[in-house]
Amino acid sequence: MSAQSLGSLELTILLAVARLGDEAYGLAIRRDLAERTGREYAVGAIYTTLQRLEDKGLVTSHASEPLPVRGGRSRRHYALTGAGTRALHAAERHAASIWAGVGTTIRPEPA
Amino acid sequence: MEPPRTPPAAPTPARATTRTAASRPASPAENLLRALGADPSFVEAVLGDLAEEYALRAARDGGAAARWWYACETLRSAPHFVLSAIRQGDPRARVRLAACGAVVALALTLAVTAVLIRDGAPARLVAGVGDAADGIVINNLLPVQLPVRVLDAAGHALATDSVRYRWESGARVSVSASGVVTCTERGDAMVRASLGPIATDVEVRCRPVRQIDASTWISLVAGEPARHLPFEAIGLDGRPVMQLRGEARVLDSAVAALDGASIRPRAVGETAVVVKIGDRGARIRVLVHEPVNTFAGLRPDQRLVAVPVRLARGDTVHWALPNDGVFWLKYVTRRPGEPPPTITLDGPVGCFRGDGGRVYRLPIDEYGTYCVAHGAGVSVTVAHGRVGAPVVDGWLALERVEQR
Repeated sequence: MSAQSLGSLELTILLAVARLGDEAYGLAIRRDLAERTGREYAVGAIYTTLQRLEDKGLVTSHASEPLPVRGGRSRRHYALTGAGTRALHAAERHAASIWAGVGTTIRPEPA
Repeated sequence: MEPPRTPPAAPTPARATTRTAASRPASPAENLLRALGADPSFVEAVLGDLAEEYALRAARDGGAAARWWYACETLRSAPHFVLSAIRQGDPRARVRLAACGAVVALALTLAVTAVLIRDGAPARLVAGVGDAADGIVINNLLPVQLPVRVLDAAGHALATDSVRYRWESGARVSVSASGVVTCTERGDAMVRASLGPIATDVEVRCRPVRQIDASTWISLVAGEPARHLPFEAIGLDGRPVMQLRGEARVLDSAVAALDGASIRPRAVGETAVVVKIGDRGARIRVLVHEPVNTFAGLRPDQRLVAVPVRLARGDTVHWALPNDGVFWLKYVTRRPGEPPPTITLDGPVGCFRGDGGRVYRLPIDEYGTYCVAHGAGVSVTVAHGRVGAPVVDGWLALERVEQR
């Protein structure tokens, strides 16, 4: 999986899955994205993207036990696959390569 | 989809409905989404997230805010459910989805249409039915309802039953409270129309027409320009009425067409124009003649023909008429008001003036005189004298009324 084939939202969600580890399910990912990007994505949009990532083999998912707080529904947890991890590394390299050579004046300040 | 109102209960025993993996009875919303082909795990994950966030927000922000959030999020997620259904659904589910989409589209269309055509409160009163810049002209002698329309702010026409009318000033015109006007003489009056707080002054121009004086026919030549309809409306005082509201229609528009108060020939043939002004009406026969160079050699089906007449002073032209029928002969000038040439007929003919008097010269005016020629040996001579216009320009029109 090359980094170029990942869409912007796909990459963002894939990074959130990596960050959240065992706690990566739709609502947690949505909150993480809202915190980091300031944008509230629709729940449906998160899961549509996760489904696409799963179809690409970048994440796997499993259902939890039913939870009362979810009206007796399960949570669907997501985890990076080896291909997902490689895709993130590739994306990082790709980003570094396209930023290489750009003058320091327009480089973002380190966080 | 309704947000959950109470804390969700523990899983209940199985029911004979679609079930989740954890044996929880599926909600109606889940059943619907699955029936439309959405992926069950997708549905469960999204609805579960919505329920979980709803519970959190209800505790933090209150029930109303949480319900609002839930409704908005459900709407935002709807396209993703549809997308999932399109991707995951089997053909039957896709058909159901398409039907559902059609129903939603129809409902939206109906709702938008209902909003667009919904009548609002009365906003203004408008006098007349068209361009009423010169007020409402009434040519009727019989009582007539004032044409005042009630419009809402969007321009929709509303019922006019509740509009009330009152004479304000000007000529003494009988006006009922419901807006029925009787014009018994020529004059202008101001009438106030009101509907609740809305009111407008309507200028009523009484121009009652006693009769319509119209020519019984008009002869045209195919390809020639339009000519004014030969009629005049006469008022109660015997004078012509110039401000008219009425209608004129041509019975066969393939033969001639109306162009305002004029009529334009379109094809050889015969039709009629019906004029209606106020309570009066008139019917004018319209003949469109075929232009020919001579009357010789006419076929039997050439019932309406005309030869051009263009004579300088002192010129004379002579034609023999066909000998196989009875014909009406008329002169049609190209320049209205131009005196006609001298026309003399020899042979078995009879010419009549409009008043019925017999004459042998044709015509005294354009439409008032006509001749009937019958039998063999009829000829017509057209001559322009040494006085008058330098050139006379017109048509000698022939109408076959009987074949022999």
